[in-house]
Amino acid sequence: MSGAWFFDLRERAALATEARVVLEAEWCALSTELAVLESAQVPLKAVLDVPSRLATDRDASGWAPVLREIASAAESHVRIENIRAREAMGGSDGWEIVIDGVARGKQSRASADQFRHVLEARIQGQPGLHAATVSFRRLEDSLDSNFGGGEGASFTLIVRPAKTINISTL
Amino acid sequence: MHLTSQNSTNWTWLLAGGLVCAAGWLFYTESIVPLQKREIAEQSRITELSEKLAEAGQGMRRVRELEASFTAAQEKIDRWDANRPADSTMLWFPERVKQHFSRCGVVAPVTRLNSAHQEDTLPGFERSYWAVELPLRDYSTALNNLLVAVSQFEKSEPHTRVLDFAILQDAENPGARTAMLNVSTLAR
Repeated sequence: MSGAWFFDLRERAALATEARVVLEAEWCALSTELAVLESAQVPLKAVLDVPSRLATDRDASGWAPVLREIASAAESHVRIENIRAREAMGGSDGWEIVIDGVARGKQSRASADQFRHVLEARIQGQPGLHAATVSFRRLEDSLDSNFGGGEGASFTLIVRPAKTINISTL
Repeated sequence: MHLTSQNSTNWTWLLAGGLVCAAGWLFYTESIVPLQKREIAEQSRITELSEKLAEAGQGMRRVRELEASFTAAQEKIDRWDANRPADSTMLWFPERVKQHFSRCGVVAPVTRLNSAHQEDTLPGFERSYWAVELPLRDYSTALNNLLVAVSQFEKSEPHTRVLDFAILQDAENPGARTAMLNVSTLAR
């Protein structure tokens, strides 16, 4: 009885050794292949993110669409002298547009303010710009030679996407 | 005499019994115990290897899935610039600027490359920075066209951003002005 038990034990040990050797060989082959594949994963992962980053880059919108609104809002009694626009540093959503212009007529100040109101409403109608502001930096009476020497008001308007944005003076 | 013989027999049996026990113990410690230890060690290693193989199998599946995703991503990237010329940005971008602003009535733009650098987050892509100079001969009539053209430029050229914009007066000709744009575009 004990002899059979001994031989059974010896056979089990031998079988376990055999199974272990097979698994060791399998592990050796698989781990080598996996190491090679995993080393190639880093460049693969970098490429995977590219389409979403491209989409983000494509959909990023700055201040350029606002220029069309400025063109539309300017009526005949308002003349735009200069426009300067730029994005904030660091690629954030901040930007600022400075508009220098002249409004003519006896109600020139009111015309300038009307232009500001119309422009602000138009810009706020743009996607993502509902909080945009258009405010006077300067509004003063002037004699405008280009309008036949009549009464006028020269102004500088600041357009910003939100009240909180504060970019250094352009 | 008889007693002495009996004692001797007892001692013999005792000695024989001791020898049998010693042989049994020797057999147990030298054959059974190593076999048992070997079987336990082999089973332990088999369990360990089985777990590692299962993990490796999952790792292989993950890599295969990643490879499939990579192929899909690569196809999207290839389609991304399908409508762009295969030439260098240096060649086609100034031409695109010229075409766009000509359509909007602003002629003869001057386009200069300021700088270009690889995008860290977009391997294989380069962002170039350009200065575009747009002469406005009749400022008062050209302004509206210019503003619309600049606002449309980003739409007509995806991945192009107008970074800054300014109108400069011409000192020699008060009626003429020049619009200056700094623009960036992304390309492979």
